This record gives sequence, structure tokens and C-alpha cells, in this order.
Amino acid sequence: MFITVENLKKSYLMGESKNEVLKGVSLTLEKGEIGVILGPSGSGKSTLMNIIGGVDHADSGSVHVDGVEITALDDDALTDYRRNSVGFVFQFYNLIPNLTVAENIEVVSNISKSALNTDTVLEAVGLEEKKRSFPKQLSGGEQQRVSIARAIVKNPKLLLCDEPTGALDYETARGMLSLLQKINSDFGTTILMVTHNTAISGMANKVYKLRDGEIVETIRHDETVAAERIEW
Amino acid sequence: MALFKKVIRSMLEHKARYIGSMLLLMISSMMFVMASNTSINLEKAFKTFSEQNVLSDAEFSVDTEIDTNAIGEKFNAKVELGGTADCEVKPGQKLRVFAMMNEVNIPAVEEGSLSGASEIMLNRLFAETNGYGIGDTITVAGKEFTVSGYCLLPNFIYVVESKEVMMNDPSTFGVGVISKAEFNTLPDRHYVYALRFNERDNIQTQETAVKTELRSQGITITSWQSTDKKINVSYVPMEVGVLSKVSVAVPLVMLLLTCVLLGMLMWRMIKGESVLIGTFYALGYRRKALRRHYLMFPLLVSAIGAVVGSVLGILLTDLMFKFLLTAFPMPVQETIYNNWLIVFAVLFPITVLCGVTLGIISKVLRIPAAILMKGRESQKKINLIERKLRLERLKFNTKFQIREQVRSLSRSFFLLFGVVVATMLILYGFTMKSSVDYMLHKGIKEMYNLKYEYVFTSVKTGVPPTGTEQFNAAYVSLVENDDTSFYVVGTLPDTERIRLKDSSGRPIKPEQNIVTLPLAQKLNLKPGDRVTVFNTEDGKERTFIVEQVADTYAGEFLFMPLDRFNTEFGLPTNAYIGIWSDEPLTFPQGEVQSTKSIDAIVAGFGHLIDQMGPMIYGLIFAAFIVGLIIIYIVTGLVVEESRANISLMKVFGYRKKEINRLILSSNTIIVILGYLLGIPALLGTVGALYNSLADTLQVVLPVKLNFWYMLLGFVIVMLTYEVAKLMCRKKVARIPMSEALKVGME
Repeated sequence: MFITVENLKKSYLMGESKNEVLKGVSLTLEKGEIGVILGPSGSGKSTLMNIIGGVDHADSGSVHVDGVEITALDDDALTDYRRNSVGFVFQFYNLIPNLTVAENIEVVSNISKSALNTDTVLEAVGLEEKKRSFPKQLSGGEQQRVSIARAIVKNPKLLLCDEPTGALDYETARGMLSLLQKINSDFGTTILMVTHNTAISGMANKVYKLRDGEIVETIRHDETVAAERIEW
Repeated sequence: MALFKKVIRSMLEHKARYIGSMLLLMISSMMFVMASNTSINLEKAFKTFSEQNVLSDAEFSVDTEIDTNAIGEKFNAKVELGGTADCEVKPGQKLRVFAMMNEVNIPAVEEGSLSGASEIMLNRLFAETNGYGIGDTITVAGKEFTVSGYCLLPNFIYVVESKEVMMNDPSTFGVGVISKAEFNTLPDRHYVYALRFNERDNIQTQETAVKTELRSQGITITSWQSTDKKINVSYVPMEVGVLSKVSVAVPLVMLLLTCVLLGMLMWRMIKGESVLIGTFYALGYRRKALRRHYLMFPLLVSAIGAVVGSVLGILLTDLMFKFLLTAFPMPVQETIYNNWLIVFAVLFPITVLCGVTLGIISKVLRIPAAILMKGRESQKKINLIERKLRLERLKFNTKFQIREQVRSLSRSFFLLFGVVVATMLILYGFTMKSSVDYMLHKGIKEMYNLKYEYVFTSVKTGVPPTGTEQFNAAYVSLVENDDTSFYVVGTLPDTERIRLKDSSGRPIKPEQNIVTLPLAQKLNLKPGDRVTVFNTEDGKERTFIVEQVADTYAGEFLFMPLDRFNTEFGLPTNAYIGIWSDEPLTFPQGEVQSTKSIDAIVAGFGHLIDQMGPMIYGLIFAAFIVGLIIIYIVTGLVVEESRANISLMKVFGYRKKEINRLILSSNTIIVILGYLLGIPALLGTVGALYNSLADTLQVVLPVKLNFWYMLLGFVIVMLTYEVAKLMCRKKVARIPMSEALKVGME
């Protein structure tokens, strides 16, 4: 297994009371697969992804990614893990506004051991003409493409996408999903996506339905749907 | 009230910014109140001392006795004959003894009583340094005197042996006052008339009239010293002038820094709170109420800063005034304060800061509520410089740091300006020290190849004593401006005692008319120019052609071959007025008018350089604090404005060191640039200062800054920068990764 999550628990203190966000989540995902975590707001899907991404710590349970137990890593080792193994795509792109498109990608390639060429990834996301533009000069879809290019430039083992289509219109969102599918097939990158859009689940090899901090259903798709055929 | 709480909370959240602004204002108001009030007190003390103790307008010597009453009556002036004698107390310790005056230059008794028979009054610093208490005995010129008290002389306020010494060493030189009867028994006494006009306008014209009258009577004036050119007196009004300039310049720079800083902070805060402002509008708040709310920030900062600074200034005025009275001893006056200046020191910064902020607030508040509520922050504009920059070929870290700088031009300008000011403060003392060092080593030590200079009371002819070399000299004044005087010196053409060099460092001999660089600069002379002067002794006009300029800062001289000098001045070819020697010589009483010891001059300079130490350290400390405040605030702003980027970098796997290097070190270019710009700004300022003081100092100082001091200044600036970065590291460490993950979620 590429990702193995076992009995993962996480809670936050809210004043006097304790809010249990993850109540013993377990899941697995094979290398090169696309996984989708589905759930409504507050179900714990972002927390789960943050722990898998090495951004947050679990209270108990374990997460193994590519044979490494990341829940046992200290802060420095987690930094190395994020630096070398994980790519992030955010709902609101999180581009640095005063850097050009190419420079935004270099933010990541600057610290990667085996970064891909910036022009190559820009070509892969169809933005080679926009490399000197600033984020403000791009549409939402283009900004998300830059965000994806930035995530894949380090050639990560795992691509974590938090609501990647949440801020996009229907057509742009479909284009974005196609791009992610293409990256998955071209680079063999394992992708774990968090969304509340059930329609997206069709393109995933595995779908985990999360509700109130627990996985209530895991669906395995032997046949996945091409992103351009998805409708919602 | 609720809005006022928001003001207090916002200020507490960003303590460093507001405390920093207050500190800058505090320094500004403190400097203003202290310097302006000290200047007023010093001026008042000088004026009172001058009037009550009848400070002379000029002191002069003539070749024969004159009728003081007749001159006094004719020119409506007080004229009194007095004198001075330089007497040895111990080997290497000299006392300039003044004859007690009753009408002009009347000494004041600081403690004890006036000197009677076999009694002497000393200046306090000399007495205390050398252990002479009141009632003790002191041997002056071989005669014993009892110290009757400590005196203050209106015509010798700044106790210094000669203008070349610049700063006195009280262990080797002091002044004393004895009765005229006792004075007349001293060897090597030099009689001087003190003259004070009753009509206080047009002093210079009145002096010229007296000189003309004396010459018309066939009297030769052997020396004429206008008091406004006498450094023992003129240093006091110079200090008053310097303090007045400092009281305006430094506080203004500080106020400007604070205005830029607070204006920038307010602009950012209001921009950041545009959604909130829109919401306030929507809730029914009026523009006036919001304007009042945002004006509370500059009002609190400026009021606290200006009031605390002014109070500190008031407290320091007394200390500063008392300190200056030790350098310029005068009868102690009660410290006075100009209330209007204090009110101005409080109100001016408040008005300026609130005015600047009001402009910024009004600009934002003109935007309709609906637009404000959408959030202007999200519409981050890319400025022209950012758009035009082509950085593809640079490394990512360099690109990132350049982009950080051009992202906010006001922030970069503020930092640049602040570093320039800090650099100037740091290097100011070093420049003064370098200049004096240069004048000492490259000027005096290099030019004078001798130990003693003896000037006789009358011209001698023939062969000088063995082991000495003769010279002649005349004190001349410009025909078109008799305030500008200098020495014309005739030396042996192949002299080894005076070493001169041209601008390229090649030695030159006084085989032709050579002017020294300070004189050339002062009179704007170059080879081929003519300079027409009159001899202060015989009043005759002469014109000299400048043939060469010597690159030396040892003084203002026109050197020429001795025989040419003697021909020009109508003297026998073998005439001379003085000799240079490597050994101390003794002469019969009354033969020598003045003695100059080059070692004593060098020691005086050394003393001056030693005295500069505390000033230099003080300035460095002040610069360190100002620099630290500015760099810390700006670096803090960079961190604050890059929170999302820092958080994102942490998510991407950037290590602490890498983030610090990118974010905290992004100002390095500006800091280095500020330092580099600070050097010419400082040299220009110091040059202007030297020029403005040249007349009073009677010395033209070269503007020099030693390379090692420049390097040291750079190290201090960079150290300040590193300390500020270190202080900001915690801020960077505290930014959580969740901030990047939550962007756009609120």
C-alpha cells in the first residue's frame, strides 16, 4: 500500500470542551491511484488530509506513506517529507501575488532535490505563454493551473488537493480535473483529493465518505470516469 | 468608547511599531527642547558675562605707549592697558598670567577673592587638575603666589593656549590673574590694550577707525585681535550656533522619519481594515466618527512621544548647560526655559503627524462603503517597477528578495532613509576623528620638521644661532576683506624645516610663492592668481602671485623664499623675525614674543582626539538604537505582510533558516544601499559644517573618513540589522502552517 491510515484520531480543545474531529479513521490507497475524500463541512476531511500531508499532528493512530510512518516523524523530518514527497493544491490557489507565474513555481523548485524544469510543467498545464504574468493578471482557472504546476514541479510521490475546483466555474473545474487525471497518468502521481462534490468521485479509484470524523463508506471503482465526462 | 478600546488593543497587538514611533518622536522632542534651551542658556550666560564684565571688542599691541583716555574719548570707548605672560609653573606646565583689569575684560571671581599682593587667581579646571586649592602656594616664573580664588575671564572663556591646540589639557596649561603691580615684575610679559566701544553697532568699522587713527599718529600696531576672531571667546557663540542648528536639524530628521513611519503604518492598517470600515459605514457610523477613530493612533503616539521627550529634554537641559559651562567657564546662571519652545516641541509633532494621517484617512474614507466591504486588500496592485523588472537570469532567492523590496516602495524608502540617518550618526564622530587625525599626521607632523618656533619681538639680522634656521613672517589681511588674515612666511628656499608637497605627493620647496591648501580653498586661489593684501603692521598693500598650491592642512600660509620676502617687505636681505629649532632655547627677557612647541600642539590634538571618544561612543549608541528601531519595525512589517507566504513556505517544506534568509534578509540590499548613500550624505554635511565653522575655528579641517572607520561603521550597521533580524525570528517561528491552509476560508 502507498498510503495506510490506521485508527487515526484527532481532537481540538475548544475552550473547556473537546472537539473530536477524527474518531479512528482507517484507509488505504495504492500507488498511482486517485483517492477522493468526500464529506460535508466539518466532517474532518481537511484535518485528515493535513495529517497525511505532514502539516498537522495526530493524537493517536498511524499514517504510513510509501513505507514511512509519518505520524512518528519529528518536525524536521516532517519538513523534509513535505519538501520532497508531497505536493499541495489549495482551493484558493495560494499564489504569491508579487511573484510572476514562473517565480511562483520556482518557490517550490528552489528547494526540491529533483525538480522538473519550470517550462516543462508550465507546458504541461498549458500556461507557457503566461510565465511572466502576475497572478492578478490571470483568471481563476489559470491561477489554479499555476498552483498545480507548482505542486508537480518537485515531481512529488503524493499530490494532495484541497477542494481544487471549489472556487472555479463548471467548465474550468472540469478542465482542472482533466489536468489532474492527466498528471496522474503521465507522471504516475498518487492523488488524494478532498471535496464535497460527489460528482468528482467518479474519476477516483477509491472514494472515502467521511461523516462526523468517521469513514462511513469506502467505494472502490475498478473503472474510473474520464473527467471531461463528469457532470454536476 | 468601544472604538477607543479597539485603538488601545490594536496598539497593544503591534507594540513594537507604536513604541518605536514614540521613541523616535521622543528623541526628536528631547533633542529639540534640550538643544534649543541649552543654546538659549549659553547665549544668555555669554551675553550677561560679556556685558557685566565688559568684554573687549579687540585687543591690540603697539610699539609705544598710547594715551588710553584720549583714544577712549575720541572713539567713545573704554581702553585699558593690560597684558599676558606665559610662565612656567613646572616643567611642561604653563600658566598664562593676565594682569588684573578694572575697566575692560574684568575677571569674575567664581570662588574665593580677588588677588591682592603676592596672590593669584587660577582657572578652576587647572587648579583642581593640578591640586592647587584656595590658600595653597604656587610658584609662577620663580615667584611664590597664594591662590586667592578661582577666576573666570570674559576674554579667555575657552581656555586653550592657541588656535592650533584646539583643545586644552588642563594638566599642562591654565590661566591666572594677578594684580598689575605683580604683573609688571614678570619676565616675558606682553602688554596688550583692551578696547570696548560704548556704541555697540558697527564694531568692525569702529575698529578700522581706531587702527587708522593709531597709524596716522605714526604708531605701529604689532598685533590686532578682534574678539569675534579670538577662539577663546568666539567658540562660545559658535557653540550657540551649532546647538541652534542641531536643535532644528536632528529633531526635524527624526520627525520626518516618524511621519513616514506612522503614515506608512496607518496606510497599511486602514487598507487592511477596509472591510471593517465598510461594515462600520453599513452599521451607520459617520465618516467623522471613523476619522476621529483613526486619528486617535497618531494623536496617542505623538502626544505620548512629544510630552515624554519634552520632559526628558527639560531634565537634560540643566545637565547639558552645566556640562557646557565646564568647557566654557562663565558665571553660573539659573537655567531658564523658553515655555513657548516647549509648547512648540509638543504641538508641532502632534500637528504634523495628525495632519499626515488625516490626509491618508480621508483618502480611504472617500471610497464608497460597498467597495470597501469587498475588501481592497484582495485587489493587490502590481506596481510599474514590479511589472518592468526582468529577473529571469537571477537566482530565485535574489529574485524573491528584490521583489520583496519593490512590493512596497514606501517601506523600502523608509528603511533606506532610516539607515542613511543611522549611518550618518555612526560615522559622524569617526569623520571628525579622521579629519583631526589627518590634519595632525598628514598636516602638522608632516609639514613641521622642527620642535620649537621662537618669534622675536623685533626683526633681527645676521646669522641665526647655531642649529637653528631663520624665517620671517608678516600677518596680512585681504584688502577687500580685512577680516580674512593669514601669515606670509619667508623661509630659506632649500629649507628642510618646512616640508611641503604638491597634490600628487611630490615634495616642493618654497622657491616660489606657495599657498597651503586651506588658504587656497578659502580664497579660491589657484596657480597664476593674484592676492592683494595689506600688512597689519605697516598698512602697506602688496600683491602676490600664487605659483603653486601645497597639499597640506597644517594652516593657512603663503610661503616664499626669505630673500624675496625681505625685498617685498623692505627689510635687509638677512633679516628674520623668528627661528626654528629642535632644542629648547632661552633668551633674554623681552626678546621673544611667542614660543610654539610642535609637541605641545601634537599633544593638544591628541587630547582632542581622546576627548572625542565619549562623543563617538554616544553617537554610535544613539545610531544603534535609532537603526534598531527602524530596521526592527520594517523587518516586523515584512514578516507581518508575508504571513501567508511564510505559512505557505512552511507547508512546502522550507526550513526555518531558508525562510529567515528569504524573508528576514530581504532588506539586506536596502540596508547596504542606505549605508553606501549615508557616506556621501555625511561627508557633504560635515564639509558644509566645517566650512560654516572655519571662520570661528580659525582652522580649515579636511573632510576625511578613514577606510577602517568606514568598515567599522559598516560592521555596526550590519550588526544592528542582524540584531533586528534576530528579534524578528520569533515572529516568523510563531506563524502556523494552518494560516496558508485557511486562506480564503474566512
